[in-house]
Amino acid sequence: MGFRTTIPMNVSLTRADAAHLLRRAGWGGRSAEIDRVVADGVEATVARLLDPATAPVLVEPKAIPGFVPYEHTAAVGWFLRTCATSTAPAIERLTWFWHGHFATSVDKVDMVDLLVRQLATLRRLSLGRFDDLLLAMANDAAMNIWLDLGESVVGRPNENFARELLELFSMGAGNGYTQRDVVEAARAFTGHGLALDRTYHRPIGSRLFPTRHDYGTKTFLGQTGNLDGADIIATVVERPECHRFLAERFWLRYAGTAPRPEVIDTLAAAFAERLQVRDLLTALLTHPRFYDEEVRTGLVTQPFEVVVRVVRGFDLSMFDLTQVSYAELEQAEERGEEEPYRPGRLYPGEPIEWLATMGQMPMLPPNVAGWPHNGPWLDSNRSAGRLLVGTMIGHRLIEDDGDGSVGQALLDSGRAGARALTADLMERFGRVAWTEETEAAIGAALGDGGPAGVAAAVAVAFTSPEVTLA
Amino acid sequence: MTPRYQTNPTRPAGRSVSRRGFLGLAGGGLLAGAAAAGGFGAVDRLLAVSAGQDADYRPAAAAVDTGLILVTIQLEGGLDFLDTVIPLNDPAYGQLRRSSGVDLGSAIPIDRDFAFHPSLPYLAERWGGGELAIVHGVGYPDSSLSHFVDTAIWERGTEDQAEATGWIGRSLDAYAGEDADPLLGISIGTLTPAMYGPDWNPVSLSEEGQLPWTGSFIEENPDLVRAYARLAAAPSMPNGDLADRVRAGQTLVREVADTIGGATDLEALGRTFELLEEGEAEADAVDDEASNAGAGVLAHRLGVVADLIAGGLPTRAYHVAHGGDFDTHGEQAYSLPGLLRSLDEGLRAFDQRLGPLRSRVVVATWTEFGRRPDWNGSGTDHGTAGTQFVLGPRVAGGHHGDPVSLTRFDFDDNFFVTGDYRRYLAGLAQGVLGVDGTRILGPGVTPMGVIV
Repeated sequence: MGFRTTIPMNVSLTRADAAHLLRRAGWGGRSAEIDRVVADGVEATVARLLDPATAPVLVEPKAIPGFVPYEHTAAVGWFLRTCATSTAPAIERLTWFWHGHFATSVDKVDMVDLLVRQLATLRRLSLGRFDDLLLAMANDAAMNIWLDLGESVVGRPNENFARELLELFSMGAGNGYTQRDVVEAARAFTGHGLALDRTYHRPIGSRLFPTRHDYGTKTFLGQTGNLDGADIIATVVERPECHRFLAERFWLRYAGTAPRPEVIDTLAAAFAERLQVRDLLTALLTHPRFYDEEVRTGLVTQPFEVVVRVVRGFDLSMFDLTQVSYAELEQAEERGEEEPYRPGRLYPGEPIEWLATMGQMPMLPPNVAGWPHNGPWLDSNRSAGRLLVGTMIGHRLIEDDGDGSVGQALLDSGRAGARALTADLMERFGRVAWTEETEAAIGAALGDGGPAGVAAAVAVAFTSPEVTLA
Repeated sequence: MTPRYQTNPTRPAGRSVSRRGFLGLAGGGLLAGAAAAGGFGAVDRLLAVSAGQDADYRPAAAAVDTGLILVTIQLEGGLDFLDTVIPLNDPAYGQLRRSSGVDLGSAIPIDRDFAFHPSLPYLAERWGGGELAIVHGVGYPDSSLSHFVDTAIWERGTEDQAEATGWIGRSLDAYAGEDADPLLGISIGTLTPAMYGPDWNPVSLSEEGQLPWTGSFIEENPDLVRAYARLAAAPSMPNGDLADRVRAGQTLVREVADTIGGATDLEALGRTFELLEEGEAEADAVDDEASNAGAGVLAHRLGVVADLIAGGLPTRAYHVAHGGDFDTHGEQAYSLPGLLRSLDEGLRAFDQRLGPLRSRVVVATWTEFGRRPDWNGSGTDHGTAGTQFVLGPRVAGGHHGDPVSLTRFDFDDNFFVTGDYRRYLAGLAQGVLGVDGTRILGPGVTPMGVIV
């Protein structure tokens, strides 16, 4: 069965359109992929990108059962590599969207394996029915700890989860509900405690403890009865406020510009019919307004996104933490062994340092509303972080690139002159053109074409408006 | 610590640094010239550069130089003031909070009616010295009880969502007009929207662990500081064009490389990293110091602010976030003592580090709301009215506004607000930043007299 788009877009995509689609739906593509998108057209491409059958099986980081499985650093390295190497980038990108939407922090949850499991759940349900996703989050162990669900018991409902469910996850602040609805929803969600693994007594999910649940009559958004959490979610997802809210969230994170009401109407209608996230995202990625010039330069790339793009675009290989555990890596380092530090590999700490310098760390959002959108990423602190990471990456590629293949390729381009290097960098950053200003700046940084110039040129490209707003 | 250089705030009233002068500089030319001519310290040079040295001062239109510096501390998540400034002798308090777990025996009585949470000995000391104001029950009608909606209201200083600027940004703009020096305001961490200006933005500096900014780091890297400040002067966040802002950043990449080390060569890049590592080591040392004192993140951030003040930057308003999570829905008895202790110890360390300079500093807390009167079994849910602290030698110590009623609650079982939050902010704008508080916070808002 094909996926209907609400507005048929029969015009063919230009190469610039195709590159834009690949950058926003996933992490960007190279010439061959761009050409394929042009040949296939937008509808077939979006259907292919959003086909769950293309997604590789997710393997969680290697861990030894019964012990604290791995540290936050290892989980971030694992997630970064998963995103950068995936054959289904659009699904990883969507998982990243959901991570920001249901922003849960290891800072309070503490057990990072629960965050990894939450990411796996988000990924598994990423394209499906939104009510399934909400229910899975209500029953998720990390979410249970993060928003105090376990503390919420009959007679003493804790409003934390119920409020954020309505405000941040499904309807928008004060958008069609009252404080009374929050209280009644909190009552419906009482009694959800952590379910523990029988052997190791680590949380594996949550379950209902009947003696702690409130079986009384509740009235939520006009519905009255002995409502439970699933009833609350079933009511919420039928609300037009929910459809529009989710459409706006998607538009802001994929397109970036202020949402136009008529566009949101279209996306909300596509979503409302079957509550399928895939319908919503398909409507967005095929919408003519998505290809407007203001949209192309209307979204600040988040640090995580730009790091994934660099790892992918520059063919940097990372340790596969599903095969070797972070603890094993550290032990090998302590023993002074070279292996498995083979040349050409990024140690997980490196891209993580880039992320930290730019002010974003997966599984450590600033608060339950997730990471900011656009403007705040360009304040002086964050911008300066981006500048420094650009120079770090340029330096790393030329100086320390283990087996030298990436660095050598760049140096060859650099020696061949500014035109060759700008073309090479364009390819690696998933573009079909640079602006004149950026091209001139890359050329000026390259100077005489030596290694220093190549490093500086990489830094300039990394911080260009095109890459920052890709 | 005695500041070597005091351009501001002791510089003549009504003079401000020109943004044109700030932006008009290229490369390290003037910097090199100044260094060769006088050989004065790095911060001096930084300021010489930032001031443009072109005597392009202009009288500020609407500001009086109070000589004071505002330091706002955001208590993110909503402070439970009821267990912080405890109405110990009110039986209603015991009714509401019989299981909240505060060690009332160790609470520190401050007068007939109230006692401080046991974690607040330094604030109690300052109260005794007449340097602490407690601002009771401020908020607004019909709170949404949302962290994000209410935080934005405090930042804007208005409930009007269409307002794109923040109350501190508007105040600084009145102080300096359109030529505002971006160093007039500094946020530690992400730029607070409270500082968004009408057509410019102040600077944000790093959080600990990222490109740290201790006093000596600034002295060693004046060019980097200047580069950051220039970036911040790009078109403002609410109205500016994203591409222009990024373009400004792109230009800076090359400038940073040029100014640190003289050329875009590998040595220069390597030198950049060395400097960063040095800075990080220094920040780690500060962190260790801070954690030894048990005060942690806030103490570190305030330490950076103290160094910047001592360095004599022209900055009139600093913003730091506490760094803890005051959203104590669950296990409040466990978390609140540590949160308050880090506030108390952070302020003590800050005052010690400031030394005599503290005479010109006013610290003011804000939090998006207070919490629910009723205990939820493990903590407290979102509330309405909040209580704030103002600290400093120039503060009108004592109670301001009326304490909330502990027996009459609103439709949602929350406290009735007893004071307009805008009066509190207007009091800070007028008393500390020297601007017309009513103009900044809205017609009919009478500034609260929190400053002597």
